[in-house]
Amino acid sequence: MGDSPIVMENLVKYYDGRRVLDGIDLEVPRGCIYGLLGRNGGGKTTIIRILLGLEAATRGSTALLGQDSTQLTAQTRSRIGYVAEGHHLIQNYRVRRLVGLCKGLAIHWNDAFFGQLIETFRLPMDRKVKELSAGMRAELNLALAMATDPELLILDDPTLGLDTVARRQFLELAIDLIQKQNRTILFSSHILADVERIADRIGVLVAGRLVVDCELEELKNRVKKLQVLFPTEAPEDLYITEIVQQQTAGREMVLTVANWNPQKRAILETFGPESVTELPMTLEDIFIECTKPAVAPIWQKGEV
Amino acid sequence: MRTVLTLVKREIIDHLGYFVGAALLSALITFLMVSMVLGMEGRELARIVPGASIPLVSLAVVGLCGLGVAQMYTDRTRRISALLIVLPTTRWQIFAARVATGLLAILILVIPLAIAGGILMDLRTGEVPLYVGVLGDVLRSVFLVCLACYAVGLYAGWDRRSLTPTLGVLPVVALIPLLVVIKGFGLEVAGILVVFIAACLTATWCRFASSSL
Repeated sequence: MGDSPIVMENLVKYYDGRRVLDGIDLEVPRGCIYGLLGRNGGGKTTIIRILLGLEAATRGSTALLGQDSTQLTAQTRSRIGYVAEGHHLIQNYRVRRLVGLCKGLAIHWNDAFFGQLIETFRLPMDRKVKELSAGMRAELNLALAMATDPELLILDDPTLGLDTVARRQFLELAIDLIQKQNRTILFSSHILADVERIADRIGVLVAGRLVVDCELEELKNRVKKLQVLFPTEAPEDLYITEIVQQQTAGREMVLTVANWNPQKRAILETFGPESVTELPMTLEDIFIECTKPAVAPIWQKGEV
Repeated sequence: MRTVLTLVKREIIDHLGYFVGAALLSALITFLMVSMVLGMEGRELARIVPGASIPLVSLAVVGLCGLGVAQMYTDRTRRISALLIVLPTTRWQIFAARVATGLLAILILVIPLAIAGGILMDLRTGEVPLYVGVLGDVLRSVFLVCLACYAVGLYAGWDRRSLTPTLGVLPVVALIPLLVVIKGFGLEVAGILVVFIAACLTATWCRFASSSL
């Protein structure tokens, strides 16, 4: 399955007859911070749970650090850090006991670094996990994941449920920790600003399909939103491929096009538009365009 | 090995009440056994011991079944394995540690009885007509009955999402000691119990290994 730390091949998952993942192919290269985006219930957590062997895929295969997800050994697991959505730590344990358990099971444990994190996060060791705030639980989860110096870090919507201040604080610390080390990170979130700050490569899941898989900057450069004004009624079809969204109102047409290039511009010019204005797009705009119902084209690795 | 020991330690601390209960029950049975054997005549002893042992045996088997249920049920409700499995462990290690913990509880219950039984047999040899090797047969049966009840508990605890339906396994737990009461301490019963235990543990493992955590 190659040298990539994260590999998925034709991943399909059904829940109660409903298709949640529909043939996902993805390879995350070493050292990459990969932001996995999708709406709530879009399949992000399912992908991560399958990757970690927490549940089985209906079809296809996944591998972490070169090992099949269904057969991850303790050695391989020791090289992976995981911060779960909702931070499912053992709620009735005291923090000290939970830390002791994780440390007891760890093959490598960086005590000094963990101590630093606990101090930075000001985590009370004598309180029960269920007595911690959501923000503190997120920080404890991150500290436990980082203490093993993992080669691969998987963060599943780690800021879910945190208030704005806690989310900002968590991200600042996470970014600081991540940037210091050259590790591979899979970061799933539905908060686009978070992903935009951290990720250098983006994947967007829509209806169980990976409709985007490319570098963040490349994505921003390649997806264009254009406001086109025609002298008379706007044409019904522009015969341009990879139109993500198209809205027409009288003479005005607003287009979102993937892989915008001179050829496509030349085709548009044949319709004699009065003006073509490029509208600025943030990642959020791109995401919204991608996740709208009946999105036409798909662009993926190698195509963009 | 270190991983399994850490997991066993966690299981013991989480279910400490069952271990204390097993030790207390073992002490109580040993005390009753010693007082009865030393204070009664052979014929009287043969009449009273079976009657006195019924509530104690019931307590032991229900308690061990409860331990199995508690281990699996708390795992499910608190999503303990979901946390453990993302640490450097495997499902097999988690399951093996759980079963090892159950075996430890059974040994805490059975070993003091074996020692006391051996000493008492030496003291009263000849007064009660018993065949050679009876102690070994009895202890083997007690151990297997305890393990079978524990294995049923493990199976039922993982199978059910609510604690109430697991009470449904109590009739099965009651039937297991009855098998020994009816068929005796022979090797055939031991064989049946071994097959039953193997089936329960295999079924539990298959469920645990294939379930979403």
